[in-house]
Amino acid sequence: MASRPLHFIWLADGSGSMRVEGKIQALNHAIHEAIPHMRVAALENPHASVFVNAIRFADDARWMGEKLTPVSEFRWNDIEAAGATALGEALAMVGEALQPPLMTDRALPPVIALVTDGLPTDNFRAGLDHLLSKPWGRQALRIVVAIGEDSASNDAREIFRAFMANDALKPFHANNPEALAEQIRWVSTAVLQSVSSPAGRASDPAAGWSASLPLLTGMNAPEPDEADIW
Amino acid sequence: MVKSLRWTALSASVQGASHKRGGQGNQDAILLKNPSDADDMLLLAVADGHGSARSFRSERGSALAAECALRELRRFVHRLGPGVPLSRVRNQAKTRWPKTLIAAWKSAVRADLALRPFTLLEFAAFPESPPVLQPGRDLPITAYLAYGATLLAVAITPRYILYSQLGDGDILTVRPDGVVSRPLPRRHEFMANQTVSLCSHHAPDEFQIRVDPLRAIPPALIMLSTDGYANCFGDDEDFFQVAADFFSYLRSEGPAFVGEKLEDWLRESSHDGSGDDITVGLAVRAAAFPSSPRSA
Repeated sequence: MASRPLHFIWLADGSGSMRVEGKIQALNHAIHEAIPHMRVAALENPHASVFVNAIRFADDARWMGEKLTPVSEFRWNDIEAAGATALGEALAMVGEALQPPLMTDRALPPVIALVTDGLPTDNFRAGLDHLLSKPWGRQALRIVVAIGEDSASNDAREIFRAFMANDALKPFHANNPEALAEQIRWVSTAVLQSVSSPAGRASDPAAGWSASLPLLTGMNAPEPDEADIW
Repeated sequence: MVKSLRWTALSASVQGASHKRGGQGNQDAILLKNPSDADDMLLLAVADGHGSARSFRSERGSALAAECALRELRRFVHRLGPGVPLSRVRNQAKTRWPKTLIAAWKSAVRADLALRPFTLLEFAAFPESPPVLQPGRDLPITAYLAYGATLLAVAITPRYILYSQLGDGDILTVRPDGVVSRPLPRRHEFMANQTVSLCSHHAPDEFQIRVDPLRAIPPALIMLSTDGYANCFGDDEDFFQVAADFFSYLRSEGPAFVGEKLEDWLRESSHDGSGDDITVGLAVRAAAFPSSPRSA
């Protein structure tokens, strides 16, 4: 007997703008804090084998660990913020990775979680096209944790909409460290649990992930709060 | 009537281990008809309801699918008659059967909806209002999606075997020498829980059909299973071994033993494997197996 593999990939923004007002420290802390919850969520579904990895993107994009890291062994090494925002390159790398032999017919839909505070500086569209040209790239659940006010601009919204490619999904917005930790934890647990359920079947592309993950639909950016610092 | 067929169908269906924990019912359905003196054909239909949030009536949808498949497949074979050329069977199976089945299932869904209209609560999580039946107008796809299910069906007549598949799930055959194969190719685009099904826009075009004559050596065993079973195994090689194991047990212990144990085996597989509902139908050619070797 074999459980079904589920790949969860963080795309972490390590660009220079993340240095401002402690965003990169908050991101590091949030993912550190989320990992134990992620392990518990994975343990609660023995029918899925969860593998985690991450790409840090700045001037270029790099995998942070081996491609197949069981969630029980996944460690988050703090990233630093410096340089540009090579998101397009990161997306192309994920597209390359999400292919056989890593991906088998029986894998569960992968999750690609983008955490960023702004706009890409490279050819985002080329990278996204490459990701979406791969069957598993198209089937992946692509979600966004958007940090700070800049990520709420029209240009950023357009980028996120193109990345998620699902009108029913909206970015998770975080305007302070507590909100970021909460959104990251949510993505690490609730989303993981939903995707790893064998009930999440869609018969029609029009139904898509909104059919399987009603909890992710209709979420709007929170109203500004006194605690907001980004 | 001389009984030219000696086939027996066995079946079991278990609720997924994770569905049990989540309070979901078994979304699979299976129906079979064993050969009789009056009607010498075996029919087997296995349906798998989507079970997603959008397919909140798929337990009912899969039951209707299995019912429609058994009824319409029987009619289909009878209408063609016993002496029909196989080329005509193939042609009709590819052109008429899918349309007939889809029309029957959609009609059954509309009848079910007439008895139990959608409620506001069922559509509370979705932007549109619940579809309603209107004279002279078909229902929107969201209504059929609520009942969405995939379907596997097999008809074994004295002259041919008809295999039919819409969407994911697996049909395997085991030859008398133990070699396992797929009569219909696996569609690799059915990944990440995506599949076509009875509610898909172009469902009749998505059927996979095969008709084999029975004049050569027929399979000893035909296995139909919902995708929850294959998903318990890392690859096709491991999955094929299951059919080979059934074949071995049928040989060494007989069909009665396998029929008795089948449900326990499936429950164990769901628990240790995919966590999904698992349904298996086995068409066993009796001549290839002893009936009760242990007591012999």
